[in-house]
Amino acid sequence: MSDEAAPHRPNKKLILICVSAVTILAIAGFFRLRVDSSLEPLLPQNSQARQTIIFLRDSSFASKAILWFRLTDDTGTLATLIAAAEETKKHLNPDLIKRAITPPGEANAMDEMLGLLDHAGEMLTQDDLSEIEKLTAPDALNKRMRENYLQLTKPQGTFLSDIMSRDPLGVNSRVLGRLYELTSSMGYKVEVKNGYFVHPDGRQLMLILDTSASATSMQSSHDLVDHLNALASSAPPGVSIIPIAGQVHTAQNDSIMQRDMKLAGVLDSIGFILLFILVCRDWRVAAVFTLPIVAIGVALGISALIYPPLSAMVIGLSASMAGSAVDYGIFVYTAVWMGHNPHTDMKRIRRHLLLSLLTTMGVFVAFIFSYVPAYRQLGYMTCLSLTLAMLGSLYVLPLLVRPGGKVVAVGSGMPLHRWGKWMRPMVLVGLVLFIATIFVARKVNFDADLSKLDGISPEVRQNEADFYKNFSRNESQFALLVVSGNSLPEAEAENDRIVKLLSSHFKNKDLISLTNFWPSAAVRKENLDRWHTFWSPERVKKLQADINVAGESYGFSADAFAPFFTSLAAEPSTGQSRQIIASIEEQFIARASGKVQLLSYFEDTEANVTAVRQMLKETPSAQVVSQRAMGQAFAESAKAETKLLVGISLAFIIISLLALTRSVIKSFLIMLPAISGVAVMLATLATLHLPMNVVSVIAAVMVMALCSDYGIFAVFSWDESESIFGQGMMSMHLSSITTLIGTSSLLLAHHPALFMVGVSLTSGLLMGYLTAFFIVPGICYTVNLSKKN
Amino acid sequence: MGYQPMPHDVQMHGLVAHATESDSIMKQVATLICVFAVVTVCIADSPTTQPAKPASKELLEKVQKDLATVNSVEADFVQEKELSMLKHKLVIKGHFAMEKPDHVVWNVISPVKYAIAVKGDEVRQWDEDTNKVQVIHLGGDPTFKAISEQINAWFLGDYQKIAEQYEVTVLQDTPLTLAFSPKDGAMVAKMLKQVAVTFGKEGKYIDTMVIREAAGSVTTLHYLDAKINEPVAKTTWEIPPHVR
Repeated sequence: MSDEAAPHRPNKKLILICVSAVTILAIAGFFRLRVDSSLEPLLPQNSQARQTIIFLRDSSFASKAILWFRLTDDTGTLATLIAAAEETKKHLNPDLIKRAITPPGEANAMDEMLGLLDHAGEMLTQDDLSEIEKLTAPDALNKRMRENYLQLTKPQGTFLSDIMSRDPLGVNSRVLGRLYELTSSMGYKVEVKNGYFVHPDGRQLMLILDTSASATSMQSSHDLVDHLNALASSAPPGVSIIPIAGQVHTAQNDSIMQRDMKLAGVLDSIGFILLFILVCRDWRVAAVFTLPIVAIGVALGISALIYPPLSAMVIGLSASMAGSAVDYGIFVYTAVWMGHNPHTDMKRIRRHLLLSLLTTMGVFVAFIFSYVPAYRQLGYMTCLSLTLAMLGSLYVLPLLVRPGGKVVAVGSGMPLHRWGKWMRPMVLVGLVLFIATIFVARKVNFDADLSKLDGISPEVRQNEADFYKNFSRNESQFALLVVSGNSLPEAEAENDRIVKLLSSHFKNKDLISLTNFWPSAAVRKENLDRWHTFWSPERVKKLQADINVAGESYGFSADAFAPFFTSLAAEPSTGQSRQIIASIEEQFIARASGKVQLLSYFEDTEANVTAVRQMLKETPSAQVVSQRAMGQAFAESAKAETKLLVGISLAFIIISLLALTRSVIKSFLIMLPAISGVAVMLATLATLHLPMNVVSVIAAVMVMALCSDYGIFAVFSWDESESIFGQGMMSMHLSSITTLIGTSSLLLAHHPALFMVGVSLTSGLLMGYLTAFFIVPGICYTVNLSKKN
Repeated sequence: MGYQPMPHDVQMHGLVAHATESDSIMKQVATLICVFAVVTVCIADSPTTQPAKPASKELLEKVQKDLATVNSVEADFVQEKELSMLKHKLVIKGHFAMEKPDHVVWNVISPVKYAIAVKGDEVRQWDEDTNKVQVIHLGGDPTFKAISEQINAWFLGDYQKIAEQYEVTVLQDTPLTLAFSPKDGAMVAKMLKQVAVTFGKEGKYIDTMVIREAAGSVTTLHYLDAKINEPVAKTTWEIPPHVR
């Protein structure tokens, strides 16, 4: 050990103490660590998007799944389908499937429907009563009696006498008409046969399952999908069973991501091993790659002390930033390994390392101020891991690396100054290309539609398309209006109020809400009181007399409508219509976390979603659940945050650069690869018709962080009058090659999100590297940057 | 996450699928059961004195085979309804025709004027009071599709299919009279007690149909001047009906 190196090496004890303390903290943190794999932390606090995800996670609404039975040959019949469904029901796993939802029994359907008529008083409004009053006028009664008589002469009239005697005025058409409206506009083409929902063609059947698996839970989704696939594979000959469920998306996305990550891992390993064999041939280089992993592990533990439930995606993204941390290690490794005096070598590179850290951290420091919990976690965790990696590179790595080694090609090649001279034309070319790139990049759009990041297989996509095409009555997509309350009466009352509020926007049937058919208990009571008041003894007596007169000429007997007059005095009973009421609840009432949710439906259009969100801005009990609303919420959140985050980032980076370089031109050159990298990344996305989205925003941040390192390496090398394969430039080459190996492996990914990460990072980093290698030296030469020149 | 109609929408929709626009579900169910009554020919009260015996599979196959030769039927009809809500017996007269594979018309002439025609996917209704033709498509309405299926099943002789939903017994061998009673659990069982069908000569057409409701009312259909496999005039299918 040389004397000059002495000041570094005696600090071993202090370093050991610090490392031990940090390790203990990290271990303590690991005991508190909980990994949150949901999307929830990625969404802004108190935002509509976050409420949507929470709704989908917690609500009983989102736990349904369908098994779609189809006959696959001409020999099968409905009986074949029903037998297959019966057999499947016997094998349902009660741990995963709470029940198979069945339609009301056909035998009781008539009684159920008639039972609903007993609730007419609760459902009919003042307007209805006004209409009914008009029907009781003698002329109208006469007309009505003729209509009744006409009905009796029709083929179906044979069976209408029973109904007619209970409803001579046609009140049932008001009650059942609303029920039909409630379901027909968005319903399925199904018939109830033998207790199953059957397609009118008789060759398809759907078995609806109420599951205990939420589509936002990976494990339960995998378990459910495995079970459904097992059921599907045991379909009898001539029948196919296809699962249709949100959980299929969750499970398949997870599987594809894991497969892609494994493939990327294998390719990365091969790349790194080849690089090691060809370039370094020193086992100590493993420390360079190990250091960021250790730093991230320690940061993970310490972060868990602050945020026990850490987002899985944050952990993944933080790990991706290892690429930047590796840069520090490579820079230190090449400096010490090829040098002769670690102290001098470390002193020489220290300032540039610090610059590298600060430019990268600048972006992540800004994240600490984000409204998005996951971004805040990412900010804290990445700043911590980068700082730890930097400290490790400065104080631990030099202890492991021995000076005097060689790295292939290092030191060879032409001097950087001559290279800069040659590259002057490239500056002009680069400028032209940059302008063209900016022009193309302007075409890229921000797309908040998360469904485009859905990695389901074409087969699943086709199955779903076929299913909806076969069964759906229309092609509209619906948005949900969810109104919550602590109890059913509270939720119902609030739903009544909100639907009334929205009536100024929606036309009659455009908002499909339970309240249009079955209003809140309070309103039902109000209606019933009005109904009883309306049917006063005097009115009833007069109507009886008038009906007798009007019916006489058609031969109706005196007591033909006695059941109707009896029902006017009776109180409604839910007994007879229990199943039909339960069926209504199944569709319009959900439950989550002890709350009751009333669901209404409307067409998911830009105009509808914007209007509803605007009108319900100050109504915390209501939320809109839709793809479009989610997109709008994301876009609003991104818009609100962008200015703040960009402002903080720029301020941090500019101040850091100017403070450490004391040169505007150097600061610009350091950031030039980052600027060109992001520009090319955007242009590439635009050229490939890929949108900017939540994934590519993160990728852009990483491109900026990593490419700024290349700028620092290039400027450092220029200052040091190195060759194009000198220590600084070689660090940049190695760093970019290792990172590009990692990112380009994602170009083979099947998952759209990972593919987008691959495209974004590879294009951006490649351009950043090329800028640092070709353009920066050219500009340095042109502006006569270094005093050494 | 866009909301395609969710699975449980189906449940509600399935329940009310039989209800159409202004008519109630009950009317639709009744239509489903009764339209078949359009085609019976000739009069004969269904005998009830002979002990009933289950219809064998072979017998149903023979009936089905005999009816398979019928391509068209046209007849006048007289329908008598004894309803508790009416003081008198309701007598309905009219004309009926059907032609394979899927063309049926039922034209009431008295006491009111009313007509319904089914062709393929389309149902057309008319009555003299409104003097309007209402058009419904079977594809958009499961009830009328079921009606069409029922007509084909009853009159073109798919008796084995009918036997899946009804208990079939033989009330009389000559002329052949079959009684169809809805099986337990079927929705129609709440309304219908029995349909007795008496076949005409050679068993090639339905001669008489007696419908007994669960509530006690009885409807008898008599058919006059039945024409089997004779060309049906184009005007017969017209809605509103062609004035003869």
